[in-house]
Amino acid sequence: MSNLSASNLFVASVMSSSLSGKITLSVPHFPGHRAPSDRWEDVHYNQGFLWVPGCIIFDGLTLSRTYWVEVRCAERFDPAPESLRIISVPFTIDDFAVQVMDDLGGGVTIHGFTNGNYQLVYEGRELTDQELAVMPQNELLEPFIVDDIVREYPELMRLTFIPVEELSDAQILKSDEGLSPPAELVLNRLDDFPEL
Amino acid sequence: MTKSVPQTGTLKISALDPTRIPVLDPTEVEFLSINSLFLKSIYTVKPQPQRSRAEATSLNLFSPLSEVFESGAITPSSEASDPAQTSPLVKAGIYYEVKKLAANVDSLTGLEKEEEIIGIDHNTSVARAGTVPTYDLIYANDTFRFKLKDNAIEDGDIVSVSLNGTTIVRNHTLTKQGTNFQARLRAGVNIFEIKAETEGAFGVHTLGFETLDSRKAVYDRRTPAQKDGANLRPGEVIRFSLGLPYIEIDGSRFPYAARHVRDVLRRRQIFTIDRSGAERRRALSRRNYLRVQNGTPNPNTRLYQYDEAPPAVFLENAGRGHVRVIPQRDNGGAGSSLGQQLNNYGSDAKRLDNGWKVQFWATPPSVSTPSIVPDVPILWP
Repeated sequence: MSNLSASNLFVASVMSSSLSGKITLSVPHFPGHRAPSDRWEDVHYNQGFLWVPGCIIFDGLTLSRTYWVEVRCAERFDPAPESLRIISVPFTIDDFAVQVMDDLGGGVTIHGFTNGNYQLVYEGRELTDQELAVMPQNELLEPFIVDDIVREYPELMRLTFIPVEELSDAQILKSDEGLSPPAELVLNRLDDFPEL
Repeated sequence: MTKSVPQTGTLKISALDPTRIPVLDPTEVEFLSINSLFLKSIYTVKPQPQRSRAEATSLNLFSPLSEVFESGAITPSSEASDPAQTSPLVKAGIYYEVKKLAANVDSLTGLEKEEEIIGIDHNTSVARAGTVPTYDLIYANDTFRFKLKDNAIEDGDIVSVSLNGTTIVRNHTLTKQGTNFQARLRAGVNIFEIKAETEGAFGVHTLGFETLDSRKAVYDRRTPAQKDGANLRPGEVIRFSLGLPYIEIDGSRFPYAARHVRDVLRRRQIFTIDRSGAERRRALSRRNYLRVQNGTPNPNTRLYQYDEAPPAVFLENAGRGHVRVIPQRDNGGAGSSLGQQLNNYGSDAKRLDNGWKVQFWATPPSVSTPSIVPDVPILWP
């Protein structure tokens, strides 16, 4: 499933965002009530993410809303060829940690980062039967299958931090049919949401 | 508002400092299952005799208070009082404050329209973190537990308590130890009153009042007299408003989701937060829609999603919530808004815990919401 060595895998976790399907990654001191998770506009759905300094929210690929989330740190970007969606965004860590949250308030804080600028690369795709067969027993990881009507698999969400000297632009490196990226990707400022 | 960036291109990475990449021993890699609590609490519903929807709704959620009392919802208990938690004696001069507050609360009781009774000023509420009612006490349980006691010498002080105009404790003689009671709250605003009936042998009615399970007091704007009791004269009343946290789907922002809530729930209702079973209930509701109710499958998963009402995060969804296909962005936005309200409620961004109860409703949709696919019959609850 992974072409990266385990030595740079920080966390692998099952996460469920039952309410909206979105996963939020932020610096730990980013106040939860200021996360613009319910401020998505068409442009954000079209590009698959909403970014403000210190916080980024990714939307899922499918209706599954259940994720196997892997957080890694790597020296270089080595995309998995089977990834359906790949998005790269700038991210600055200033408190040696990041936190990953679902939309029900569950989450995990990952310590051990070096402060500095990173390029955060999101990769997403559905897990396969073969992968699920060797993963930890967890009812959330069971595919949702209803006869021949619906087949939904949990998604793999791989988040890779690549240290960089200077922040790069956001880029959609691989687009799937669920995206309709605008000509210019949108990075927001917190001031764009004055009511937060 | 935005920063322009190219849409495509290769990822440019500056020169790397290898020391910046932490290397972990594989044995230190954490495999977490942060939602390990899920699926413990799938809500099971005992078979019940068939009854009409209106009847069921009435019995479950909006029983007249008299019915609630007769069914034993109001029950005194004899839990021992904790001397360490004795309320402070109320200082002299509190009478004016008590009366003044009582007068303020009176103005609420005259409201009759449903949307007004809920006690919310949409113009001044905190839009970001939920529409927060203006109650004196926002309490996350529909069972309000309280203690009445004599704050001074036990001398035969007598009080009566009423909730929403109905007497629930009549002529109770205060004791030093105190007596616990509980009362069933309704959705919307509730008016709680303690009336001093007669004073005891020592001439001053020293009412001690305590809110039990105070952790569920999400926002408490009560004065000291309303929180702890006061010295009263016969006939004087301590009065305050209270109700459950209000969670709302904004029909102007998420019209399809709001329409769905209003169609299924018919009116605001009280629900129990249960995050851990949400995904399980969501899956069961969708399976029921597709297999049992023969609902039309989502015609385009890029554009539409399955919406459950009531939301699966509430225990009362019971895995058989009504499912409707609605636009993806409406569904996702409403879900995010619901999550924000549950996780960051009100101006202090408080988390509403699992097991706590809230009242839930949706404002009218701002636009028409034509069906995406034919609706299945609404069988919930």
